[in-house]
Amino acid sequence: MTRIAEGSPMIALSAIRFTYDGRARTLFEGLSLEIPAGSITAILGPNGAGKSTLLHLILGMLKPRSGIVRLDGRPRHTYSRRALGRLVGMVAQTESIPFSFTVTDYVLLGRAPYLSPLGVPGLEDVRVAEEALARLGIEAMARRAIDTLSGGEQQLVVLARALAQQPRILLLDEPTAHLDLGNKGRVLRLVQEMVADGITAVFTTHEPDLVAAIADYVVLMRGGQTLAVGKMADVFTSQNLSQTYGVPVTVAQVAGRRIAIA
Amino acid sequence: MLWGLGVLLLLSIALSLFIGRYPSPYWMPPQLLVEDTLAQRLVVNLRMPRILVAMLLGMSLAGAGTVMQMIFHNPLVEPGFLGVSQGASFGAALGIVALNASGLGIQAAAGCFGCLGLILSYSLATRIRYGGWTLRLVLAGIAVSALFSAGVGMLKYFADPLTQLPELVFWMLGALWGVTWREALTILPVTLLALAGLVLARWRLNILALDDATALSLGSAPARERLALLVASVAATAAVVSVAGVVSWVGLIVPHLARRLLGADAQVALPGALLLGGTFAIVCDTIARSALPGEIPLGILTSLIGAFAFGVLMMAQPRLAAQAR
Amino acid sequence: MRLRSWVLGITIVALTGLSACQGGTPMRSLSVEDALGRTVSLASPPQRIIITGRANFMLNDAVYLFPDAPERVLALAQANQAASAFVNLVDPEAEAKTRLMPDAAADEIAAAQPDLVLLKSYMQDPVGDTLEQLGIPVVYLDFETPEQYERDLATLGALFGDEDRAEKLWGYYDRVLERVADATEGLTDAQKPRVLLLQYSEKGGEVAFGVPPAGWIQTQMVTLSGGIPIWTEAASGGGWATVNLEQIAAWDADQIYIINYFGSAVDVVEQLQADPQWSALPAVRTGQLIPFAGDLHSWDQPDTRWGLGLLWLAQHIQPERFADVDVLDEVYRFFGDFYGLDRATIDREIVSLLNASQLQS
Repeated sequence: MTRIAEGSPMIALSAIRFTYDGRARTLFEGLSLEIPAGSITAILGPNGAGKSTLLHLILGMLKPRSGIVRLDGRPRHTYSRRALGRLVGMVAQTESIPFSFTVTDYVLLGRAPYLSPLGVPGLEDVRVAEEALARLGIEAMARRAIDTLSGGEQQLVVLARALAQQPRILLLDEPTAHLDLGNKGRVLRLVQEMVADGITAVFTTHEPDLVAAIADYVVLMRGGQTLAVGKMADVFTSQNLSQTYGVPVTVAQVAGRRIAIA
Repeated sequence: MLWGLGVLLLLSIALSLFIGRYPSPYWMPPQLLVEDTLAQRLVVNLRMPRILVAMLLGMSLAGAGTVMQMIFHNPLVEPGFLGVSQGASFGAALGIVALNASGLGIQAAAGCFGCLGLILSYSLATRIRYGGWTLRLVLAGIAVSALFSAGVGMLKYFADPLTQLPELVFWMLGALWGVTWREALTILPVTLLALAGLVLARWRLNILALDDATALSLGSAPARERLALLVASVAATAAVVSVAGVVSWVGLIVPHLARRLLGADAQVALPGALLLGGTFAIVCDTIARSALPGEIPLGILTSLIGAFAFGVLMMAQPRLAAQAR
Repeated sequence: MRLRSWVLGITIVALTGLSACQGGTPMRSLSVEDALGRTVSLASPPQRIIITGRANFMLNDAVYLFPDAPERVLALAQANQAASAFVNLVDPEAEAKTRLMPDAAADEIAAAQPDLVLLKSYMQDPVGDTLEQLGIPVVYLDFETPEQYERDLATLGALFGDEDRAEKLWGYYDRVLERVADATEGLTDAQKPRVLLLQYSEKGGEVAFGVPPAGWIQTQMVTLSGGIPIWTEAASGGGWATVNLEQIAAWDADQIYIINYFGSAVDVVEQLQADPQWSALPAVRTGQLIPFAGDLHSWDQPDTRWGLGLLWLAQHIQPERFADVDVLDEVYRFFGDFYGLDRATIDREIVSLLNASQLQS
């Protein structure tokens, strides 16, 4: 695998244009974005701003009308599906788990990109899964059924699955929605730890405080348009946030951290 | 647990070979097989193919049911609902009422129209403009089933009530009374292939039960893989329905039973469903042909026994799977 | 003067009353009791009769036992080919008359302006009630068992004003029943062969064998003929019950009769004799797999031919006791006396369809 030069972007979107089928309005008009490796990028905006769409464009679930998505220097379409699976991991917004898998079985699903098309997980895969559980401190839950866990515990399990996937890019869609304060903190800390290990994380949220807590870069979105893109310090301002949310927002420094007050 | 189910299946096959109406109701003493040529012929030419077809029927419907319930995230789905059951019924009705076809002709018509049901549902689903992928397919399946059902109704209306109508009704209730080696061999290749495919892909099925974004991120092509598994399921279902008629409940209940016993992981639940389904169908069919002098339609027994077993298991202890691991 | 007009009046009334008793007078009203026990009154003897309903060829055949039928029957419902073939023999205009769909609705029947409609009693719900609401008299007939034959023949006799004929017809059946009863008197169970009747059907794609319910005429015929119907445990329902080969083998009948309503029973018997499983059955091995007799219609059904069927069956079940039965002769007499067919026609249309087992005595 080619080593990326320092500073070369992990994720690069060039001149992305995107419309939903049948809708006249263009969601993205020539969007260009570069996200460096080993960073945390937050996509922030009110509900319906198109945050998930951007994430799906990076993932490849949606295809842009024009423009190229590059991952780790190469256009996304040059990756095979399995290679892409080893590169990009996703924690989706509504992770519906209709059937009660055990936690271990569910985390093992993350090993899919490393298995042949009809293969089943082996001992090595089980080891990686158990490591992921231990890393998140939930190895005690290994044999429990997922649907018996609380929302916060479930989210940790999903993260463990993403971890077992050993991706180099992690996409998270509203990762702390429905979580209480304690679990929010845990999830955020974990994302920081994973990034410290070299993963590039991109997450969407509508809560500015989350962004302020861990993000290095911020993409502000509203109504399908990007309002501002750049480093946290530059973008996370009262003016930008007021424009994003359409209501007066004040950004203040509290205990060394920025918070947003509407 | 899986081994236990396998043993159960083998046991049911072995016992069923000796249960029937000859020479007297229920049990045939094994030594009779050595002495009596008629007994030999009955066992080899009647019971064996019938048991084989029953097993394939149970396996196919249970397997297809498991696959569809996981793919559609809906535990209330059964293999026939994508227009397969109603399509096959329509094909058979067409053969019986309008075309006066032979046995093979009716079987072919049922199989073709069963597959046509899936094709129509799929085409219709791609033209629906709202809702997620699964919702579209479910809606299309309902519409296509209703269409074929109306067709069957019309054909029933025109059927000769003394001859054709009872045949059609009996066919639709599901029965294996006419099964010989000919029918068994016509469906064997398709069902074996399809079932083998499902078993090989059993772990992959778990991924297809997740939402699209996650499945995609795990390196799968969800639409294509789901379609492949659906085609295999429908092929097996159409094949067995063409021979046995519409046998309901097996595809709905057995996957649930398998999940209750073995857990939701398809790696174990799918083979478990196959084994359980095969056993269940064999037991029901053996009762259907042995309990009374006249034949009882299979569909009635699967509904009765299936619903009873379902109720019992739902009220019992929730998870036997944890101990099994 | 007044006394004479009274006497004249009474005489006229008496005379018309007497002549009405003779029957055939067009202007006399009549009332009959039908199969459902209802009393139906008609203003005058019916001249425009429609016979319809499903599977009604048996009803047609019964009506055409009466010589006035061709003039009085207006229309018939379509049935299968064999049914039309027979009706064409007894009614030269049958083809033109057979124009109603088997499932004709009441208004289509009414449009033909009949003055009487004959139906089987299970047609009351779909068609009969509606017709009566339209003011068309309906008489229900069953003709499914010997008792019903006696009753319904009398009803037809009243309708045609030909009670003599009805009596003669029933007399024929009655004598057949007596003859069979006398010849089988004193038979012990050991002397009665174990008999199995199977209807072969192929539609629905599969070959199936069915046994008739205990209450049907087929079962009665076996009992009357001095045989033991061994299948009655299977047929508790209202219709033919499907049985599989295992059960057929388990019953181990002495004689197996094959009925085929849609093709040749003889061909089926030949097929079965060549089949490896059937040929192992004891009845088949001893040559006792017998096609049930029939000409255009199988003789097992409650068609007018059931008298022939009973004689033929009795001869096969108890050959020694019925050695004197000459089936061919019975055929000539039945179709000649009651349908007025000449011998050449009978030879050509009926006897040609009989198979060897029917003619041996």
